[in-house]
Amino acid sequence: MTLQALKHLHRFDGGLAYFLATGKLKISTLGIHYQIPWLHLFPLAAWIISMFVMSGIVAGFVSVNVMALVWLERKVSGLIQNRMGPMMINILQPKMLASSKNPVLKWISVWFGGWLQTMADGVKLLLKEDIIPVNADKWVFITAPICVFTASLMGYALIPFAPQFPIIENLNIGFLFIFAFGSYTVIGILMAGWSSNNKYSLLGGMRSAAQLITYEIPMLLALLGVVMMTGTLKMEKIVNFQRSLGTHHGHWLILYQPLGFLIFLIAGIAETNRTPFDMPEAESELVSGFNTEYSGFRFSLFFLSEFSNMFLSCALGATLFLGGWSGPGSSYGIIAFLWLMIKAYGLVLVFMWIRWTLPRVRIDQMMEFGWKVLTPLALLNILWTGGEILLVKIQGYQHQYLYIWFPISLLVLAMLFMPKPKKKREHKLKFAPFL
Amino acid sequence: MRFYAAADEDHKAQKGNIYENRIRLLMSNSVLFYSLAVLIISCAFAVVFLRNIFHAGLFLLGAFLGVAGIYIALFNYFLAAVQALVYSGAIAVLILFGIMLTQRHYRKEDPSHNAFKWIAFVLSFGIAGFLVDSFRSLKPGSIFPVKHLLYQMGMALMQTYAIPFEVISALLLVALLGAFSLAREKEDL
Repeated sequence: MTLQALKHLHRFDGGLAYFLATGKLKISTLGIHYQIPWLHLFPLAAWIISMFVMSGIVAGFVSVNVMALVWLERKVSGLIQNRMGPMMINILQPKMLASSKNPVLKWISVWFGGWLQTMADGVKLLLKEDIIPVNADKWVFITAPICVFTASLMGYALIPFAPQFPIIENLNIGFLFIFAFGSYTVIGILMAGWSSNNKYSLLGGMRSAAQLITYEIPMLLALLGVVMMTGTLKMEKIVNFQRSLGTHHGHWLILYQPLGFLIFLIAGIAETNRTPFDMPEAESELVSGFNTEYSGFRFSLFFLSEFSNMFLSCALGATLFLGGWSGPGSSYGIIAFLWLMIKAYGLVLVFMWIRWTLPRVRIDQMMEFGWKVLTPLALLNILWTGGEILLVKIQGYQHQYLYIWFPISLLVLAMLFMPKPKKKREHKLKFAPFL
Repeated sequence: MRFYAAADEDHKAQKGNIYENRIRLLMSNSVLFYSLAVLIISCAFAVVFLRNIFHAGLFLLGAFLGVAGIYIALFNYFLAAVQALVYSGAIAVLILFGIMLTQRHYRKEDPSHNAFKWIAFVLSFGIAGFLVDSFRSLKPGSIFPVKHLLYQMGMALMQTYAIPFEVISALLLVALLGAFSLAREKEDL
């Protein structure tokens, strides 16, 4: 295939979903007009088939991606804790190279050793016995992991992985959809916690609900800044807005929304139940939290959805704040996809770095941080964005001058997070149902 | 002036949408509407008649989802998302949360009726009659998709109905403060 053909490969007129719904493949730049012969006669059947196919594509992508993420997490934790992580299960045996003197070979052997570990873990999980406790609320117990996993899959439909390649097109509510249907994760976790008939599960479920509701507010308020600047909720248009700023490949919105990005990052870590905020499954307090009673395939669904949620919020952050698929050479669909993956994986590495560096906070500290620090900061961010827009609109500033806001913003951030001498206050034990 | 450029573009784009056509087809066959109606009504009956209060809460969630589906069928994606976010994401979660905090016995079977059942029966029929009366003036086909609904809704909230909007926000603030003053510990006063 020539490079020219490759360049236009992604340019379906109407996107993947259009092709699947109508059977019409129309790539006008290459002069291709193809239609699957019988599909237009059965529109309802085509619609249903397209839904199944798209769900299959997303589920396949998520599964493979989660395998890579789990392996990466174990390797990163090994790096941070000064060990090698999983090294045993390979096909190409890079372990053999570990004794070589060549530093490059040694690096490869350490970093790619054990790259099939997740596959082995997955097979082990699937072969385990599927236990449903006798006193469990059976149907709620069975539905809970499905609910959590479905909620985590739905968000992927909105991420623009490449130009003109959204899975759902023309949804004008954009990323609001991800949050609207992402909130079903809470319901699934509550169902799991309640139906297990176990006090640790119940506590984990309640903590999770409290945490997710608390951190959803600053997250949405932080994203409001992006909406104020771009004037749209559509992900594709937000990426194009970032490309239109500046000169070469655009300015990323993180330059204009540093505080918003920080709030998004912290709230994202809290929403995906990762370590500084992993109260729902704090294994030193609650055995394993809401998934204590789960085993085998149902447990693996919880595990899968946790990692897929993490990747989803990283991809969202990369799209909204880091320019999405834009970058050098992004007119080629595959390169654009690689740019998005690189940016999302960069954020994933930040998440992992934070997870393996910081200790777990207490539940009351977490709630106080959410309500008393992050929410006011998010409101401040809205005020600030209004100031930026006023500068552009009334004063007629060029966008380049908005860079001046960046050092100011860093200064403000430093002042906000400066440790203050604090009066010592006696803490009485108050009514704290989640402790 | 590159701010708001995307919104203008959004406003200009007037293309036929294959999915809306698809759903319109479904609506004209009434498949979507009647399946959603069956879902909502059966969930509502389950909420009323189930004796396990946690299950009733879950079915309430199903009813909320069905209403979100109706909004999608009416092309109002924004309202559907807000329905999912506020009603099922916050209100249903709070209800389930309250049940989990207060319920002492696991899987306690509560009676689903009490002394008010006849009053409730009469009241709900009255409300149903009122709703049917108010919707009777609508004819089939009188509801149609509005282009750029989000844009128009924002304009209406910020310009035409700016004062009611602000009054509602003040009301919510008062409610928040009231909840806070009710829930705080009395010994601090």
